[in-house]
Amino acid sequence: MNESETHGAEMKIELQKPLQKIVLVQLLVPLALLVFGAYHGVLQVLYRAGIIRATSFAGIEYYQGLTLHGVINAIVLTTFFAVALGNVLVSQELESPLSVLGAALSLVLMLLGAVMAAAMIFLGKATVLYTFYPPLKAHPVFYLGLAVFIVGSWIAFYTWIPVYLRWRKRYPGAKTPLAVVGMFTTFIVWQICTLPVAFEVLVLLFPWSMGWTAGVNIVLSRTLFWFFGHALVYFWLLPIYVLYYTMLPRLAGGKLFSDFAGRFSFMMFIVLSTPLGLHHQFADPGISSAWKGMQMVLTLMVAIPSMLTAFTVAASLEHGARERGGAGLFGWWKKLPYFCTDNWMFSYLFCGLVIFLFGGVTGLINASYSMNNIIHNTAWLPAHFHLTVGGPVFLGILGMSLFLIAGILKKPLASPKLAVAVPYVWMAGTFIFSSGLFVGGLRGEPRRTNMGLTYLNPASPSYRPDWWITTHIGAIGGCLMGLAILLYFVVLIRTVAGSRSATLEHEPFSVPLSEMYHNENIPAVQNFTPWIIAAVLLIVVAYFPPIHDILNNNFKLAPGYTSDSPVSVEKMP
Amino acid sequence: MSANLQPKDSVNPVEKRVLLGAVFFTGISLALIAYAAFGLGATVPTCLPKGGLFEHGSVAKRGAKTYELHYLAKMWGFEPSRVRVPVGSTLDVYVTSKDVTHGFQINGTNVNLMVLPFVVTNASVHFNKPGIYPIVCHEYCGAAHQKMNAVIEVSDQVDDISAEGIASPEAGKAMADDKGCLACHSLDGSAGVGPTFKGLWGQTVQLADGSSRVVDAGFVRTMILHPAANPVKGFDPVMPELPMTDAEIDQITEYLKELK
Repeated sequence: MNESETHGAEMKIELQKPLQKIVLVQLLVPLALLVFGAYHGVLQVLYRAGIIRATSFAGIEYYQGLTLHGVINAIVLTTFFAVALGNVLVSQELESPLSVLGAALSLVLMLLGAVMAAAMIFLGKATVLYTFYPPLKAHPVFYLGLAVFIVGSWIAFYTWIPVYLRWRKRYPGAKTPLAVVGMFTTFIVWQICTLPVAFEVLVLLFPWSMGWTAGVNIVLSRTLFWFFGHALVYFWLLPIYVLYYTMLPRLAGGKLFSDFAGRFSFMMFIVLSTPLGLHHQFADPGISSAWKGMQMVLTLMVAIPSMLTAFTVAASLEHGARERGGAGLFGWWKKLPYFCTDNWMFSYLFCGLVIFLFGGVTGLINASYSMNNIIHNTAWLPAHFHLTVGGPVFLGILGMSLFLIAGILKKPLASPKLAVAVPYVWMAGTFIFSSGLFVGGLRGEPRRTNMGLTYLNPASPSYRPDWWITTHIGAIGGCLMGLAILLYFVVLIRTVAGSRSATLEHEPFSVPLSEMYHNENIPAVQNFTPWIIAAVLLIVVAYFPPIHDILNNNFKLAPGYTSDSPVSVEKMP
Repeated sequence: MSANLQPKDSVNPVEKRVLLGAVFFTGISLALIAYAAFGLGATVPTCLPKGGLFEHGSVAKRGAKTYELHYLAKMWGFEPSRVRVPVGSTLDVYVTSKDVTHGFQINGTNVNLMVLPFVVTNASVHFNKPGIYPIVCHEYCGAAHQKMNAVIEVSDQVDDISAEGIASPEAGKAMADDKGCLACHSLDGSAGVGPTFKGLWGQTVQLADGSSRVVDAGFVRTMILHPAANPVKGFDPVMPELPMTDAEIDQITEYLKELK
């Protein structure tokens, strides 16, 4: 096992200077926007509990804030992070500079798109939530902005492909570094799943929003959205899986338990990430329950790579703990660097893992066909995904952004104790928040609803005293999550504003990645091509029948509405 | 890096067992879901055959304690808004939307539906216990989404179904009378303080600012909520602003359609 040469991060060349600047912008701009995204998260729990009882607060309406929270946190932050991390890892692991022109073009398009979409939301012209939900109609610039943003992220991926092909030529037969496999998996999934949503946005919604077409096929547009919408979830998760497989074992002090597990999981995600979006539409009319059942089976199969990952990461942590002197069947748990300030990044990834246990299990519940009837569109759903995208993904993004920013700027981390506290405060917050929303959801609390005006208002005929306690638990948790982000920004701002370290100045920066404990050589999981072909075939099998049905059903096209009037905009003077 | 390809080897046995375990667990889950769907009849909405679209809520008796309910979801309420049924009733519920996407969950039951415009969905529910069962719109449908709900009351005091809040010409007439509309708007074509209601629906009217408008649902709504902003030409801007609910406006609209 002479992998130490290839995976010892110290050997790596440093990311070229212009790319360093680009990566810094890709990390800092969405973090700056996160100020709004997080602020509107905290406001929502207050609105929902009736602590704020108004249609708007400080100039932003509830549903406008909800749209900002979704678009900024779930689309802008996550996509920028995936691109930035890919730029760093692809360049580092393939030992090659990247195209500055390509990276800059990608950055400019993503910034432009994000500004276009955000401006329309701030102006109140796109209060349609991040799921678009026609026949609610947004300003054309909103749809165009999102399309430009996504194209920008594609271009970043296109700059990595020639680098990878050159590397393959240079080292024929060598195994692609696992981090690169993970980042390519992320963007192969992204490339596949953004095609249907691009079709929805550019062919269905944009012309309709311009007034060129009179209506939209709602069943079709929803199906195209969720064709994208669940693969999006894996696009959020996969960069974090990269960190779990390649970085966390080393931070724990050990090696990755199995190289095969990582490669096999990534290949399974290429195949299974997309052909399962119908499980978001179990409650929809207009789609046969047979096709819903078929995609339900595919959805549950994602549990296989997820369970494999859970085991492999836990086994790697055990290896690390034993290397640190841990012993006994369970005693080794005590030896992990939970609160180590020199190794603060561990706490971000570790807390994310703990949160993800609960996110994964509740995800299985949601996907289980008729069980979805109990929880569909209730507060249970935001409880669930704040334990997935709001757990491992968000903590991974916070931690790794800080790690990369400090590393590239060659500045020591300011307030390391505070930095270690952030993920634990966040974890406590998400658990309290989600407890409230899980139970509230089982009691019928709707998601995405300004409940303070009606359901949590004793003066309203719709008042629901049975929702009081759960919404208030949610509010306590949400405020704690807000506090964690506040602490994070203290660390981030103090680190960026601090002075460069003389010792770091002369060390090239690279991401420390793990060696392999079991470095299997299984050719079947070492080639993307067959897995991509399988993915495309499975997508055709899973999506051809429902889309064929939808197109043949000739659903009446729906005219558009703005969020503030029950009279269609098509009928306005 | 060198091309350090090792000979092919096999997966670590522990990892292999975990993989098999994951496959086994997933198989068990799928079997349980299949049992729930086929054995217990717990299923999800499917695509109903074409047709069957409706524009109004309604309730109808189909058998002893078996009722068929048609719910119309609209920004921001359900039609009917309140239904009372006897204990032991079985309700066959059909739902559609006349505008945007809505949600339809009957709290305390397993009825949980997405409601899409121009598509009908269906569920059945049986009520054994008396009580108030709120119906909540759980999909964002615009600015007043949070007030969109309805109620099913299951009572041991009644023997048959009754419903409130269905927009109909009769209810609209009572509403027009109640709100005092008929004091200024005649029903027989004669001139009053405001234009006559007779034959008004669908007409093109001239407005004070010189523009013209067809009298449709949007116009009726604008005129009720903001009457003085741009009144019909030839009439004084004296109509008071009426703080009517969307359901009430719909009732008046149905009435005006009938007077065509």
